[in-house]
Amino acid sequence: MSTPAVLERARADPAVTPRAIVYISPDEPLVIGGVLIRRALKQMRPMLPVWVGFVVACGLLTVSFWNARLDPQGKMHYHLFWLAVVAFLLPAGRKMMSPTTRSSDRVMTILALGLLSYVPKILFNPGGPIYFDELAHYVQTERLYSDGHLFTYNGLVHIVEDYPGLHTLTVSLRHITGLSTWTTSLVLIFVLHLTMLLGVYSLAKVVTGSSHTAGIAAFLAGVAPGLWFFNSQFAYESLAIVLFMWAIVCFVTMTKAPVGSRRRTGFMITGLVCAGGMGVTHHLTSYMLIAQLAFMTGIMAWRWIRRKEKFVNLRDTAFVFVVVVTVVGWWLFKQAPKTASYLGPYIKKGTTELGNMLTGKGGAAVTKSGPPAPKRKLFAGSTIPIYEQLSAFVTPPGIGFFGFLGWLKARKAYGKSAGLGAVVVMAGIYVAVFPMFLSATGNEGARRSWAFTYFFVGVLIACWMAQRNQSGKWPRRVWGTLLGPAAIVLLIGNIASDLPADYRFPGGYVHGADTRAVTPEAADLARWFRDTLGANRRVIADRSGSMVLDAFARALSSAPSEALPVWDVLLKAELPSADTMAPFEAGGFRMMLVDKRNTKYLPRITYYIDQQEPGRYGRVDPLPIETVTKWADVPWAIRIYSSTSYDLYRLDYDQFHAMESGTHS
Amino acid sequence: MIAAFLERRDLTTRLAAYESGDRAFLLAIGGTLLVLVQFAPGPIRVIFGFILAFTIPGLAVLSVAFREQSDTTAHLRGAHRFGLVVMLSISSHIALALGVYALGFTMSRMTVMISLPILIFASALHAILPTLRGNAMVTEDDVIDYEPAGALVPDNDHAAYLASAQQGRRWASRWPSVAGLILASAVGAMAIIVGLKVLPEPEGTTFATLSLSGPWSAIDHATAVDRNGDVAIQVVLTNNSFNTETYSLIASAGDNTWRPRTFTLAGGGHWEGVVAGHVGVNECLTKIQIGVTGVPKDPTKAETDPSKTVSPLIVWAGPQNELPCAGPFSKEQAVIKFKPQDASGTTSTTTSESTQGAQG
Repeated sequence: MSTPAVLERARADPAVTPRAIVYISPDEPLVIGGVLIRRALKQMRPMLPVWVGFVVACGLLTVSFWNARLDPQGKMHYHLFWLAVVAFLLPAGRKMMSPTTRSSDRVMTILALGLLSYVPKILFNPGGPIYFDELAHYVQTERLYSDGHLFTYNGLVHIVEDYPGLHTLTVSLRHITGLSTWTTSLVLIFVLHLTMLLGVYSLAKVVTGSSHTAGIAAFLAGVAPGLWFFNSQFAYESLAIVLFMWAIVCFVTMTKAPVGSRRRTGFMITGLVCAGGMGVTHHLTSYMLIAQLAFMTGIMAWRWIRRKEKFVNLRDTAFVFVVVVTVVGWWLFKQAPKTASYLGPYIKKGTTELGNMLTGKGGAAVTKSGPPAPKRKLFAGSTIPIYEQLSAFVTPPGIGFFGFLGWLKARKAYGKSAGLGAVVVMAGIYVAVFPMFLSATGNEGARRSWAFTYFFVGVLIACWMAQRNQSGKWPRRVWGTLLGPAAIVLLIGNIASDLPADYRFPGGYVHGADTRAVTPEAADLARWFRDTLGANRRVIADRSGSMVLDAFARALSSAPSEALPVWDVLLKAELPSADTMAPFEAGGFRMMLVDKRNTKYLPRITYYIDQQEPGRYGRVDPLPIETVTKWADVPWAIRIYSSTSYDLYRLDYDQFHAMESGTHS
Repeated sequence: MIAAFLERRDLTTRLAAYESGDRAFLLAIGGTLLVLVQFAPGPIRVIFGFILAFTIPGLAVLSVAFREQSDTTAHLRGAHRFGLVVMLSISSHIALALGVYALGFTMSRMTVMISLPILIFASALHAILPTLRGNAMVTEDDVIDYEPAGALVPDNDHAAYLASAQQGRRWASRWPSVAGLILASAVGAMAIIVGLKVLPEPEGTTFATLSLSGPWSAIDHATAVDRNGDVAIQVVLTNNSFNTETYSLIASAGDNTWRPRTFTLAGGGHWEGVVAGHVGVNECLTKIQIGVTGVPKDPTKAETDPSKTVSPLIVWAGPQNELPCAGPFSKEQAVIKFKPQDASGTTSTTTSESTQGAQG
């Protein structure tokens, strides 16, 4: 239709009383006032339940978190939280299942889900970081902003210093916008939440070619383990997992582009750019991408041998695989050699426990330091509602089962492609690591891997649901209503199995729970420390003390290890020996923080300082009072600050040596 | 000559293609945003800063990676395109920061604000140069869309979308969806903000702190003192509760108990001043303790021994020429004169008091 014809049509329309007609395309008049608003309202009407549900969910979540602060021991905040989830997911799921829903509405619903999944995090700690990893990254970013140096010491998570991707990005944003580190991080993680779901949508769209299936896959990704809390924290995983997803999207799209086209090269380049950003951001995610590319290359080689795949696809994927392995390997050996020693104990203990479980020897992994890790008791002493516990048990096998059904459907519907094959393999890993979930050490690895693999199972389940919706065996109305409830059950199970209640809701102080450690008293200590003693003071402290002083006083805490045995200083009733103190003196640790509450309470996370500390397992009583009182008569420990819960000492090593020599003489 | 230059069909065609795409506007938009970010006041800088940070570097990389406008507009649409632009922007920031650092520069606002335009100009140059040389060929292969792997369900929506795209009214059909999300987000954000403002906060924890202050907070060894004298130690006492509290500040040096001082501090108030007394010195070191305790109704039951309070402050004093000493640390008496040293090693005898919310 030519422009004059459009004009004629608009003028002839009795509903149009144009004060202005603006052309946004040759064919569509955009009328300011009148028709435009009416048409928009008409188009928005089908989505009204979704948007109303979204607003109600925001309100209910606010009340839920307020209730958690008032009555942390109660259960009302759980119910309100899930009511909020229901208010949005039910109408949204119905819309996503409907094949007549417009593509733009699907995408907006996905974005709304990404937005809603970030609201709990904002309500939990709007003012500053509280998760352990979050504090480590926060202080690393603050240091980078203030002095401009990368790869600086981090006392909380020492591996963080070798992966500066998140910190450089945040500091760049901070320099551009002028906001604080915390506010910048809130915006950044918010954007990452949205792009994560868009990534799943794009991947499913590329693999299946259906925006309907893609929408369902992204919707299921919106209830993924970790998305609502773990990957909402300001930590490198939250960024890396999104880069991972987009690298996969680019590489799968690359294999579908015409041979020899610039587009194929384009997607290869953009995928490598994403992979490069990811490689300097997080170690585990990099290895997951390598695994994914290895699977893709292997599947393509197998299919090429059977003459079902073009050689060029194998060549390009293999090239990408080699490049990513080279970059990640170079970074690992050249810039981040500590990674192996950091990840090693987790992998070793986890696999040992898994092996023991499979061979019937029990789940315990023998540790050097004290009794072995006990079998994991799920929800022991937990206060979460029974329906959350039930969902946590039902969800992983349920996901595996429906993922399997999805695989069967997808094979028939989409044929066997390398992209789909890679999706299936990653989904298979979800099921394969399930036994590790039951081990004390391995469960963390299992949960971390689920944060990746779940997305791929979600794509398969989406294939199954979309196909069932179209099959006509059941009325479409029935199928159309199933996605919402299914997503709710999945979300309950995923969240309940992912994090304990202390890490989801605010409340009073809980000893040894990271998220409840930043009390006003701790903040006051940090403020005094920084104002009085200045930044970059090396300090010996337990886990919660390190968190507070590192993050808010810019102190440099002692990352505990066999070489720097903080537990021998703080956890023993006896005074430390000269040998024990030698590495601390050499490291310049002249400050020491003692938390007096360690003699009253057992830590929620089972250790006071670090997972390697002696006696971590089997502890039935808090630390003896001597761990606090032993310092009262030590002339080399000057107590310069005292509050209800903390004692801060300055260590005088000259006096210490004088006493040591006096004792020996 | 200019007319002849512009009449070259391939060039004008390409320039026309760029008008609606990434590259023609990349320099202009990027430049404008950079200027706004540099010179605009706070809120505008924040808004345009994020737009700049999350889009422009990604568009720059996209234009380099795909080169031809047809690649990006025809094959990267909607969610796919938006998400990729954001993630490429993020990766670009990381790459730029690492690159600048590798060149020996520390990361600063200047390095960020210089490296960004360099990226934008380089990508624009990369896009424009082949066009001017006339060798940026659009092959037929490039404009053929990839075949979907095969839709499992009849994708009415996809078909409708394509039809709508062909009719050139993509945005017109999308904007009510976008408006719906924006409206819902705005109302949802209002609900959260109002809720946080209206709902009462629970009472926080209460605690008191006592710490060394002034030059004394820098003390890092047993204090060298002369014999025959008194000591004045600077401390700060803070009431971090919501109520007015009365505290008794008690101190001792060895067996020598000092005269207590009593303060009434309002919630959040503090007292800073000196605690002075006679020091009893043993052969080597004397332990000086300063504690804080509540005030009982019966004054005779008031605690006078700081070691019985919760974690008193502890400093050590000893004769000038005997530090550090190896002990013993008996409770023998000696009279010494105190000379506190601040961080720079100068002598200080602070005696002033500062009080906030205190009635002493």
